[in-house]
Amino acid sequence: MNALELHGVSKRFGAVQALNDVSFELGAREFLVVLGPTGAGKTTLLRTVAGLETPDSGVLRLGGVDVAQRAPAERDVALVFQNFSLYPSKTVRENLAFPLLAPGRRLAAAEVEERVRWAAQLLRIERLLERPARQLSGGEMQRVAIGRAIVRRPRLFLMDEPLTNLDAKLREELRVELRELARRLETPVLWVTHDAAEALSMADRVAVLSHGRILQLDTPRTVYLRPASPLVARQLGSPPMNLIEVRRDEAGWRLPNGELCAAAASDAPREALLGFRPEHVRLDGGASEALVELVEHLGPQQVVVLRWGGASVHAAVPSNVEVAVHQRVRPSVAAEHCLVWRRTTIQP
Amino acid sequence: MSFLQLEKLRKVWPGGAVAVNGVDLAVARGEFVVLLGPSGCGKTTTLRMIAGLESSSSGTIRLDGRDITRLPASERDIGMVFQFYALYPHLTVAENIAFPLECAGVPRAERLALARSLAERLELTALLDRRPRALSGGDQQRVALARAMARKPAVWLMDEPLGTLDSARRAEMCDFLRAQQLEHRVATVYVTHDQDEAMRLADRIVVMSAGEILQVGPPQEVYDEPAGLFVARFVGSPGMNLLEARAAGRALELAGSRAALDIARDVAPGNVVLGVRPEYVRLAASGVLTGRVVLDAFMGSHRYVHVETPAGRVVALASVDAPSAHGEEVGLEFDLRGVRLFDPASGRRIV
Repeated sequence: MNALELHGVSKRFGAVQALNDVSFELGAREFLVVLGPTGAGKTTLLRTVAGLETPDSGVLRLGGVDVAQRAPAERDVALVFQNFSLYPSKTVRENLAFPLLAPGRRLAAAEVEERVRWAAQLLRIERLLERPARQLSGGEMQRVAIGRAIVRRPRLFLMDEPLTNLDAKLREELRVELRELARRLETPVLWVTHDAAEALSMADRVAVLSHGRILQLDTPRTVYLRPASPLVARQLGSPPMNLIEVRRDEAGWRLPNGELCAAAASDAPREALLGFRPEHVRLDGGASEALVELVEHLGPQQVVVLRWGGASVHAAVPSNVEVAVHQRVRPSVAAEHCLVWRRTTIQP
Repeated sequence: MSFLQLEKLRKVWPGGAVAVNGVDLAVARGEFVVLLGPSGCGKTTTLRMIAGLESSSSGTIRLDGRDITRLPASERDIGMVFQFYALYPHLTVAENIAFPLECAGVPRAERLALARSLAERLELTALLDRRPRALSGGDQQRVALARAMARKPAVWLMDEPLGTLDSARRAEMCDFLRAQQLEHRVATVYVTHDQDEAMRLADRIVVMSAGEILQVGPPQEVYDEPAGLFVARFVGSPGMNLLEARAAGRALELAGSRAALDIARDVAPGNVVLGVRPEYVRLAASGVLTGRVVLDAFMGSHRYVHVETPAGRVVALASVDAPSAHGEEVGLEFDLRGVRLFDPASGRRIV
């Protein structure tokens, strides 16, 4: 059975349509990431599932049951926020135990202790148990905040950009750890973020959200390699997909100033928006010249910014390829790596 | 001669905690230097001492040959960009960007033209007549960046100026900053905890930890030839794989390994740490190590396969073909060109 189902859920705040006819299902053990920029409606979505917001319309089911009339506490979901909400003067142990001591839970003291130890072990914070929360680093605080969510053994985790306020290195480590943890707990996760790398690397499926509407929901591979629209394409990948206005003639796709860029199918539109990923641009084998404007070394690869046919094009090539600023190269893109959108479908 | 020079710069807080412990650094005219390190490593304190916002406990700061260590901030000819922007609420975006030029006595028409051209490059043109409170946090941040870049001081100091931006915007801003810096060649010291940003922007990266500089060098050099274990782990996303091993002549033995790795050079016998970046690890039917796949992280242009082996966790970079199944047993091969050795006691690179 699906852990969560939304059918046509909408929510408006004054003039802002925060959620616009949102429908999706979250599988029993699925890790679903909602990706979108600030203001896309991600947090409203989580708050609606948690019961902190009431949708204007639509149906929301948890474990197959309509929860419209259920208070947040009755929904058995755990929400983890971006700013780790802990009791600063309480110890880590007390913070972890707190959700289990709520009236109505009636857990035996031994059970509470057992769960606290279990969570501390999973999150590798056992040595911090007696320390007051205010003495912890950001990364440690977020581990404890997640610990507070898992001790309850909820049916569903709702994660609101839990890694955003952490240092990049910690973010990268916790990404891996939390993904593995979710698998071990066999509990479904609805995770929202604005970070495309986080979405791609963690998700079973990614939902791309914009202005309260889901633009595409699919596996990371499909969303990345076959984005449904230029708007989706632009949100994924670092650097993002090249999107260039081109014209087609017998020879192929022509860049704004007429240089040839790639082969085109004969039934393709005359004018189009051409999309191709930086890693699919080669720096040789092409029919026209481009100028290297910028080279950024990123370790395993280098990102090269090209001025090509009147357009700015990003290429990502292995770091052993010799390339320098002001050099002239003849870039090429294989036709199979090109996505074509009619110009009329261009969205802001 | 170097343009900005820090000599034995130290900062000790009133309680006795040492924030910056004897930093020596020379920045050339027009150079882009990035101070990279985790929270609390002393990078921001170093920057604030250069700006004159924090006094130094000892040491010297020279700018263009002149000792500025005790000079007030306003007399240093330094432009500063912070993570937390402060725009003038009563001025429009255009006026905010042009403000530093107004203070410098640039005529109105000229400064507004410059503001417009900066706004254009940052895609802020549509917002020029708005006031800050009508903007999103990210847009305010970009306006602050444009304002800081309107003036061309002797030095730009930037403290995580992209910290609050969405990841997509951040890459764009990196390109903008780098292009501006290349065009105007203003010496820049930039602070970040994000190694990706550091790699993108820097002429040279300065890796800091616990108030000290661990390594200084061009991005690719710091990445390829880390001076020690901390740099190996911190630079690169994910960092370098680090595995405990035993050296015996030319052979390296890894825990649980089927075969010793021939490293084609002699190393003093004893315990070593083998370091190898994910792009030098290949998934193979068999290999020097075997293990189980615990995570297959799709990254778009490639994937990182995390493998649990008897010698520890190893991450391999793989192409975007069929994903590995969770729990699948795989072999790992190391490309010797990417193998680095470290002394486990000192943490330093063994050359």
